[in-house]
Amino acid sequence: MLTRRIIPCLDVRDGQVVKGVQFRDHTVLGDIVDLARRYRDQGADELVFYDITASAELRTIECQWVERVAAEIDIPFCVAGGIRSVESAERILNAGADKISINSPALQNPGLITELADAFGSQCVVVGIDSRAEVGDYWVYQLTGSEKTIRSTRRRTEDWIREAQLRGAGEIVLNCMNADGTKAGYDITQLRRARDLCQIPLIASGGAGNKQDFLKVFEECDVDGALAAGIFHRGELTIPNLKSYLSSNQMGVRT
Amino acid sequence: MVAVIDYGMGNLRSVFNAIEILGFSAELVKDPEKLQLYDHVILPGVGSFRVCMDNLQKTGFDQSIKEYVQTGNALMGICLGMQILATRGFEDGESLGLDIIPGVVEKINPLDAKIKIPHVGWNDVTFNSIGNPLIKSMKNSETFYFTHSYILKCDNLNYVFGETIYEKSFTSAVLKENVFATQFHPEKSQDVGLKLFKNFINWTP
Repeated sequence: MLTRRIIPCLDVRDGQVVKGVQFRDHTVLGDIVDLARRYRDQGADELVFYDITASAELRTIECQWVERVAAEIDIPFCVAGGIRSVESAERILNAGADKISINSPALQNPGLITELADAFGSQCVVVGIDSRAEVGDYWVYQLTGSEKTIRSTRRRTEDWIREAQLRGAGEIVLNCMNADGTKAGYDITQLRRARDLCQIPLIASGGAGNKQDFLKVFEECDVDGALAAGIFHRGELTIPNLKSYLSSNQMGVRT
Repeated sequence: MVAVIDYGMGNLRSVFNAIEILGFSAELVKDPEKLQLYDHVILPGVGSFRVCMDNLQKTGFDQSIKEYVQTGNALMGICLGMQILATRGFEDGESLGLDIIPGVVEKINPLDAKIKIPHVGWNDVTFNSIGNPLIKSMKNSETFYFTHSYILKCDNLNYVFGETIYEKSFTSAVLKENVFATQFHPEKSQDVGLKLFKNFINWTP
């Protein structure tokens, strides 16, 4: 049986892991490889690294730390941050990443999704979507890595999910911005709507505060994976503890 | 010494790292003529069937892999490296494969709309064979990491070595004499993946 994935997310800035609240006020948490190794040992199913400033600063993530992670980590990992071309994606995949995730560059050039899917296969191409509830609908934001650059795109989230799939995305990570960092639980309403549109894997992101939140998002939204950062980084919940809870509630996880 | 075929596609580094972690030496091999110097060869692969076959033909690895298989030494295909062993594939139109394992590669075609494509994540592989050295010190069913949209449909069921359920059962590992291949990624499957590599490297077909 295909198990649900638990995915710690490491926001990377200047080679270190950081965490903010609602995409602002970042504090440094530690070295990338140390944290990656810890989560691997605990039984994380996958890791995501977001270079949160790369798009805002118009640069592509550096490959050195991707290589360092790849040398240590024998579970799949995904890298995101300012990937704007097939060439930059190729460098990251050759450095040892399994997938690349694109967000702002895909909004600026939606054709990039197709180019990447044609070059590496859809299974390599994740589209990250930063979505915020406003005036009765959900809207896509871009350049969310810095409070100076963040802006709305005037795209409806549901339209963008449909388009990303048609263009060849292999997975969607939906970052629900209203929930991010609040520990109030995943945005069930929004994720359920997204699930109904998604024929590709969907990963929930933003708002996990306790283990019940994970069970709820799997049960009620049928997402393929749940991504979380702060709750793991701060040690409020460990992955073995979470997995044993999910397992005892008949939710299939890898143990 | 283990050869990892480098034909310009895929995540070779992880396969290479896994072998080195086990304490064996690995070499990335770009020259098809050198393949015959090794007794264990790994064929990795990420991307599309057609591009993969084009690259194998361009580099001359298509012929050298077939010749290598004739010597009776061990070959292991991973993911697209398994699919390309088939007779033909239907990704990006129809194209011929290496025709080492009789069968076709087709897109996963679920009946239920809730079954997502690609098939991504950790899933169980049930091995059909008991006591085979390739699955030494493993359970009959183990969990590995998958990421793919296409599957190999084997014409000869005797070559089906492992099966996985994703709505329906599909072939997730094949074994034909000295040719072993997995749809899943042992290099991304932690301890059980390392165990499989170790068994492969210690294997004398």
